[in-house]
Amino acid sequence: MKKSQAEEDIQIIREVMERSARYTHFSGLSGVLSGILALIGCAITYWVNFNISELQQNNWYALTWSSVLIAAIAEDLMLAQRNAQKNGGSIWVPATYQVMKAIFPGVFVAFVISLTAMLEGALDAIPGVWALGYGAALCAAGMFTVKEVWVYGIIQLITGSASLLVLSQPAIIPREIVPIISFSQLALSFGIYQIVFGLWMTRKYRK
Amino acid sequence: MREIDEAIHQKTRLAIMAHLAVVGETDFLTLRKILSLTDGNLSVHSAILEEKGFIETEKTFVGKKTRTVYRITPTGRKAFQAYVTELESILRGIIDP
Repeated sequence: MKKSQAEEDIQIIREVMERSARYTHFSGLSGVLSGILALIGCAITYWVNFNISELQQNNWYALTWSSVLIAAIAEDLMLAQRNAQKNGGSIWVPATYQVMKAIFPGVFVAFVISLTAMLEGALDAIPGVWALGYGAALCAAGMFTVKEVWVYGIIQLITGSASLLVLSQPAIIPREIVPIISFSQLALSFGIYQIVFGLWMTRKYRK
Repeated sequence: MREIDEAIHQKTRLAIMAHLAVVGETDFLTLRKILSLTDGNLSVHSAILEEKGFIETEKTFVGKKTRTVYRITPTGRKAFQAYVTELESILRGIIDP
């Protein structure tokens, strides 16, 4: 075999292996639906803020957002499976496991910090922490899928950082508007962004 | 110069082996799509790889449709790794082309 042929073969192997390792079962529709679920979560959170005693608010928040998370994961898996089945395949391919391993640290860190914040009564910091964790998870997942996922992760990181930095300035931000900023960022990061991102992905990749 | 495995050396078969080396197993439609092959092309080349014992094929029924799954065998993985090592050796100049 000539050296040039060997180079050509190595190039084919590299290209195919890179393509094969990419996660392609994402669903834009799933992004839109999870954004809508998050907005429903925001509406419940808003209602809880004004109608439930402070003592019980933590339980309500935990129940609301774990339900949103479980519902979002369930619909995402169902739609990803549907996409995979359209091509006669399965969602459980090596790329899926790589994406799951990649997003785990970001999600885990956000979970631990938000649990701590909840126990300390720092509820206003939680949406910022979630955006940071989600952003980190998306950036990691972006290594194994389309580049938009990485870009979206960066947007979440910027939004989460901005929220936490603004909220940590008591000299500038009046105490009474802190929950409004926190709540607005929650709706922006997990409602509006998700819907816009989902629509973008649906339009671009027809998924 | 060592003997090059002709079954893997052909470009389409090399691409099939490279894909299966990453994913382990895949179905006909995914493989056809990811490698941009025609039905006939994929069938012919996968049959050659199967004959050599590098991949195995499993046909199942999903509703009324047949679903063909291709899986790399331990022999196939070994042959693919040996082929890649061979290519690297040629590129490093260890083996005379």
